Amino acid sequence: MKKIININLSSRLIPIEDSAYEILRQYLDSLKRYFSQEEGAEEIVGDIESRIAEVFQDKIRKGAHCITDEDVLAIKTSMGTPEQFEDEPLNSNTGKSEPSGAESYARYIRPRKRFYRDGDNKVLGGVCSGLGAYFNVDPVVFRILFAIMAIGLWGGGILLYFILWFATPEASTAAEKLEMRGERVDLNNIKATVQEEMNSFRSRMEKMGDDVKNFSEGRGKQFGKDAGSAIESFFRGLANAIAFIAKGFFVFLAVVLLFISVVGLIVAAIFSAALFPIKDLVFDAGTQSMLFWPALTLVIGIPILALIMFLVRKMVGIRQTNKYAGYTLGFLWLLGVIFSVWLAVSVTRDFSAGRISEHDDFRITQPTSGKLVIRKAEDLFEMDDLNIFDGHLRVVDDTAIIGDISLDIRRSPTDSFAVRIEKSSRGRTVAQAKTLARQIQYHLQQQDSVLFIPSGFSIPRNSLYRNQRIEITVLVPVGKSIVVDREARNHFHFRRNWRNEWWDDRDNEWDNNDQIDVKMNEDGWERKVPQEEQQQKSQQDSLHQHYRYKGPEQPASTPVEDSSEKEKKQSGSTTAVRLASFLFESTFSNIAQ
Amino acid sequence: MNIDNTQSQMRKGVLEFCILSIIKQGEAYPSDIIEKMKEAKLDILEGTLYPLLTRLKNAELLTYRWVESSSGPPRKYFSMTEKGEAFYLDLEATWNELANAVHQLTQQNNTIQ
Repeated sequence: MKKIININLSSRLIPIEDSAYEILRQYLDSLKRYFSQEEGAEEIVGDIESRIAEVFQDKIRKGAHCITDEDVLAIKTSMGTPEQFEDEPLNSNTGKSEPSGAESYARYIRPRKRFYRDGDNKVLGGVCSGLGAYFNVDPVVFRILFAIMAIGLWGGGILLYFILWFATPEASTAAEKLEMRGERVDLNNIKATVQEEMNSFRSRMEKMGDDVKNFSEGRGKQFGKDAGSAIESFFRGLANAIAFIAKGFFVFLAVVLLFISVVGLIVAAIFSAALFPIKDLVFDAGTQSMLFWPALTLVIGIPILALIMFLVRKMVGIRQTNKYAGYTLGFLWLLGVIFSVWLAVSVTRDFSAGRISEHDDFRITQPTSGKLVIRKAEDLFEMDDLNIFDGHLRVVDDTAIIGDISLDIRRSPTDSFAVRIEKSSRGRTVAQAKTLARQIQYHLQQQDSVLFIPSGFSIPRNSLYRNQRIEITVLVPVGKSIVVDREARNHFHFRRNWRNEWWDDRDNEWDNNDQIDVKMNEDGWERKVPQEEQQQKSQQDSLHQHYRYKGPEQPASTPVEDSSEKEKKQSGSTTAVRLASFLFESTFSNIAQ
Repeated sequence: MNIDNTQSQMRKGVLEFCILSIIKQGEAYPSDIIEKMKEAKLDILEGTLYPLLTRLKNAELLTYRWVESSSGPPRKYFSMTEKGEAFYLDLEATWNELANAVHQLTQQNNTIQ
């Protein structure tokens, strides 16, 4: 059972079987491609079509119901296929001698060359034989090259091979095989290609111009031939301009895509390099570690792979797309996204158990002067090179160092100083969180009245990062003082009740001296102002009463602005830096919490 | 040395001359030309005839007109231009020279053997 369709061939109505039509169409396409470089190609193909139509119509008139496969094959035999023309003597330009059949034949196929896989000479996928045909080199060369790359580049050759395999179609029809072998790529051919395209574009536009001309003449003679030809030449110019712009745009697009893909690769490399040291800290040894690499590779790798494939296609000029490759890539990418979501959910659940704390009292020797000094311990812990998790996490050799330490300074209920350390952690279960909190190593040191606080604490390298944190509470008895080193103030995170004090405002410029010295009174904190500052203060006391205070929103910057221009200039830049760092820190710590 | 190649080179020059001679006898339709060539046992694919005719027409050696046919749309009938006539005469002269020369040489060959 076959479907019969009606076609219009050279203005003749021909009933033809569906399959026969398919053969005829392919045949005519191959002829068009074959003659496309010939002058008057359209005329030649038109004549042939017209002849075929005549023969077919003759058949119908003699009583055939429709044109069958056999009829089409018969006409193909009598007309000849492009492969047969190769052997025919008449198909070369008169006067030029042809050294061989293949050469003369090469003149008539399009100068464009496309990269196809050569299924006829394949060993695996036909990629190497296709490359061989494309570059006119023995495919063995490429086979050896791929073998070397496969060993030398950690399987890079294999990957490249598969990319090419997926990205390129196999040359199955005769026309595709012609394109695969193509012509030698040289300057003349490139020029010819461009000219050919320009010509076809121009002829289309010329037709359009003619239509416009016919239209104008048909509508009324008042436009006359001048107007017609003016319009025609206008369209011709427009066509050239459009063709030029289109070509330029295409090249530009290709370059941009190439650039994006390179940047993407670099970003991916940096991203994975940054993640590498903390991978084991964040992900547990089971499912999460197993999921991590597939998720990362698929989510980032697949789009890059797709882009490379796209560029390869564009560069070798393949028009048709392999939809299975698209589906496969889409599926793999979706799989990567699913892995990522799974991983994210799993990791989030690892932080789900509430914060579990472990208390630890530090035995402090009461300072004889009644003044406790808080300083950052001298250690090599600096967090500024690699900021992960708000700069709180760093991996050094065999330990992970966490810098998430906060200080809370309060009034003591007793008449002595006391220091309490609270280690806390999150975890999947309460038990896990407890274990992790207990694992934290943290030791304060006291020398006379100075309390040294380490800037970070360590957890074992094979342990997990689950937002471990340390909070140190310093209790100051009434009537005693506490001095906070400026370095310590900047490094540690201070609790709200301390921060809200006007004299601790980081935006303030009073702090040219390197410490904050405050005394605990019955009714709250009182700051001991250094000598010189006190003098200035007394001069501006009236101003202070209006401006100085207290709410967290209001920056108490006025006293200094009034105090001295010189001072302001000196500290202006540091203030800006501090303001910026303060803003960043508070923003990120809000997000982190 | 490829025998096919040599043969096709030989045929190439001759075919053009033959086609022109058929058209010289009067207006001809491409399938008529094919028929006549077949009668003379000089087979040619139709698919190669059309490009050749177009090429000769573009070289202004041939011209054509549309002739109404009994069976459907008009057909192209080719005839020779003045330029074509001159071209044909040149070819004919060359052919005769060549034929004589070849004949003479091959005869000599035969007599030596």
